Amino acid sequence: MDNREKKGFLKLVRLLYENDCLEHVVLIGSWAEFLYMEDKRLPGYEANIRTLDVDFLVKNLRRPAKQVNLISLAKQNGFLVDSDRLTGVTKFQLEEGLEVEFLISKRGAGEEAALKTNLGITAQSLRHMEMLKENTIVIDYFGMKIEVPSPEAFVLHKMIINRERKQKSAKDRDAIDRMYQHLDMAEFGRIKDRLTNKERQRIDEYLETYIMPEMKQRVKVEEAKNKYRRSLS
Amino acid sequence: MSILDDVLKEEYDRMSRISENIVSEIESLPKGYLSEKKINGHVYHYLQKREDGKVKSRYIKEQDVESYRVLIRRRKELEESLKNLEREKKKVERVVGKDV
Repeated sequence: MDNREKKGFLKLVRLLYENDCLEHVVLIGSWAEFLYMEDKRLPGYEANIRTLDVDFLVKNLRRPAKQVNLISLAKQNGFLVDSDRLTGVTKFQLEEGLEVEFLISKRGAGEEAALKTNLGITAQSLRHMEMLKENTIVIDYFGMKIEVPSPEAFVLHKMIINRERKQKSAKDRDAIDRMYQHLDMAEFGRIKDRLTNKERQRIDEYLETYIMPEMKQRVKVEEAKNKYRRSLS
Repeated sequence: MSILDDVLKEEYDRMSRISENIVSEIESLPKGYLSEKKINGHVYHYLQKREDGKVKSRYIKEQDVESYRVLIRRRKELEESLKNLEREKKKVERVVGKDV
């Protein structure tokens, strides 16, 4: 491994693994895409540009049962720890340039912007995160098992939140576009069926606006290519 | 190399791979443009392209015209994408240096 950011990522994962915290989080965001590629799970798939943000979704507010002081452990390992002055949300910063954020699923009509967890960190609470922790796969990374959303759940989530993403919206659409053709559509449908009406509606809107026209265009081009090849022979 | 250099280099390599795939796709598509000629009230379609400084024409059957139209449009879209990619790559070269 000759890349500083990957070394930083490994250091971070090792910290969580050695302190029995890795099993309580799901890695989301562009580093999940990195692992899909490392695992060669989606042959031919090229991940989007990876950012220096590493996002973890905390699975359960009250796990592990015995509280851990991840902030103290991080500091002992040379991480810088930052805490948002308004929300108290914890961030770690590594000298390799990575910034680590923790997120948690916002349930019901919850107004809290952040929640203190048994990992000893305060996580930012966001909507629509449930599906990312309910539909996961495990990828082995240097002997450590990292839980990531299944590619289908990853794409469905991006479709749901796309209209809220502002500047990142185009980047997300690019990621969806490149991953969509590699998905297991039966699994895609199965996960989608278990979402809320609002979430399913957003997905249908996204499919109608971006995916269907693109698919129709691809079919048209493939048919035209076949005709063209026949005309040459 | 700094962290940012690493990220930019990875992105540069990714763009290079995509560029290669686009070039390969472009080469599989017909080159040129469609033109029409009216002869004795009938419209005939031709694929015209420049080769060795001369314009060459090839008659296209009526049932194939739409396919050619789709593929020529596709070629132009890909050529535009390739231009954009090359522009982005040049930006990275300016930041990281030509030996990226």
